[in-house]
Amino acid sequence: MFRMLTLIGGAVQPLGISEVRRTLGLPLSTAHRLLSSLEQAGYIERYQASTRYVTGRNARQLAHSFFSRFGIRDVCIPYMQQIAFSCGETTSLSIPIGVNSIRIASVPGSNEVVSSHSLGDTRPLDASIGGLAMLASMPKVALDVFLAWRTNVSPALKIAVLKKQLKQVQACGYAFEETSFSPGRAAMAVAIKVSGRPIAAICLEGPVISIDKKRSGGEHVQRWLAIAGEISHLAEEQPGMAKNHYEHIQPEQMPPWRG
Amino acid sequence: MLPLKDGAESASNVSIVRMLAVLSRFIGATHALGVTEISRDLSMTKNMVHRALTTLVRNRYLVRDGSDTRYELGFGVLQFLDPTAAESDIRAICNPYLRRLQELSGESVFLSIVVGRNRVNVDSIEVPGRRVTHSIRGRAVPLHISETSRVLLSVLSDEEITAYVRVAAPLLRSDGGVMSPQSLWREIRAIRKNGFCIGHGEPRRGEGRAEATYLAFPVIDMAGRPHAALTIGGPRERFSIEAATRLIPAAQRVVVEANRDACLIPAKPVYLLGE
Repeated sequence: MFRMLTLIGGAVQPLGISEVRRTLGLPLSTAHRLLSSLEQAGYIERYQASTRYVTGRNARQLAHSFFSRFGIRDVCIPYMQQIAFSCGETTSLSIPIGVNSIRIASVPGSNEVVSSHSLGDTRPLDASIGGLAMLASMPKVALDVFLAWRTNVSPALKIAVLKKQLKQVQACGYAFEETSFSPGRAAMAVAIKVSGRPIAAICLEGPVISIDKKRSGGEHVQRWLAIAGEISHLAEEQPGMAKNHYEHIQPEQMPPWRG
Repeated sequence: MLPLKDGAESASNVSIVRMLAVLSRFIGATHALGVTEISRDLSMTKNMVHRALTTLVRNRYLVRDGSDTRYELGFGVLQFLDPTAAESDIRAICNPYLRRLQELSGESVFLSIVVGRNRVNVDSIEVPGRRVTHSIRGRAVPLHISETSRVLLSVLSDEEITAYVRVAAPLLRSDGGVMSPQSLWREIRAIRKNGFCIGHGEPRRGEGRAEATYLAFPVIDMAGRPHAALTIGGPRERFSIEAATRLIPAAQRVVVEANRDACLIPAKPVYLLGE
């Protein structure tokens, strides 16, 4: 049943019973029985009343229920809508879970979308600008734990380069990454902090800042930093909203890294 | 693979149905769930629930919470996300209605939300020619300034409005004057009674009079909480109070439809920073 759910959930197009049973090596009667159970429970549904199946309403609701467990999302989304409208770029929210960062919200901007990671995208903290913004605002002890883990899993990684990058982020107050499609301009991310620890990062995914002016920031950057400060202030006042129910999760329990 | 015999097949089916029922119990859950709670809600024995939970954890659909006694949704459920589907947000819901209001009025239209203690525009369709806004996109405007802001304020609870008035005092206006709390409450009562707000906005400092007319409506969720405000705005020589008033019945019909769609999703909580 789980393999069937994964197969249908990950398929790029609706699947019929023969594709499902062939891929999973199931007898027709078993495939039929499992599909019926999943359909009745709302985990799959027929695509446009055909005999082909797609992920069902209950399954989709589970995914959304997962995200709604992060209270910081509800706090940040209105601010992210404000930023996306003002700069036209997709704005996303990531949170740290152990050594990883996971994307839990995204607000599309009005500009043409060049590329954007999907919700649920998981990667080590140093592998995205949102993660870098969070790493740079971690207490030294937590950062040392991360660096030790990173050295262990990726011995080839140049820790000195990463440390230099983090110093740059600490100096600017935000992380930035030059966009390949708009040379000289960069996407940026800023950490949301509570009690001196990063609880999330808001990332503006388009070429929102000029690399040359990154140190001074400019009026827009100051406004975005002020928004992050306001959210941090809110979260300090109402700590319940910043609670991360997945803090205890080990890296091996996380989804596989992508990208 | 050999097909299961009838009895075994039936037992396996029952166990699948149970497992899916246990997993579905986590839809919309606002806290971690334990065996006892699930067993009571689903009228299953604790043993059955425990077996289902163990299998669901093994397959990453659930994880044990920090206390190790209860369960949360796991990362396995992320496979059910449609990567191409946009999140259901108020902008997507209201955009078709924003277009209809623009077609109906021929004027600029705006979608605004509450952000902290302010109102912020998050979508708009602005018509060519003389415009009614000259501010930077995404600018934050206090909740007592402008018709749009006051429409959003009016759908907050009395306690929230009182808290806002307390933390925002003095209620400065765009022209440098101060609005009295009594006058704000009078306006809020009128908006609640009428279901809309109409006016000329506030003149800016140094301007004799405001040069625009605005007609704003609230968009709320099923619990009456504020999602957004839909506003039509135009230069007053073209979009007079009389012209805006004539538009109200037709605009209200569009707004009722927008509310019917928007009430299906809960509004984001409002945090009046500084309370």
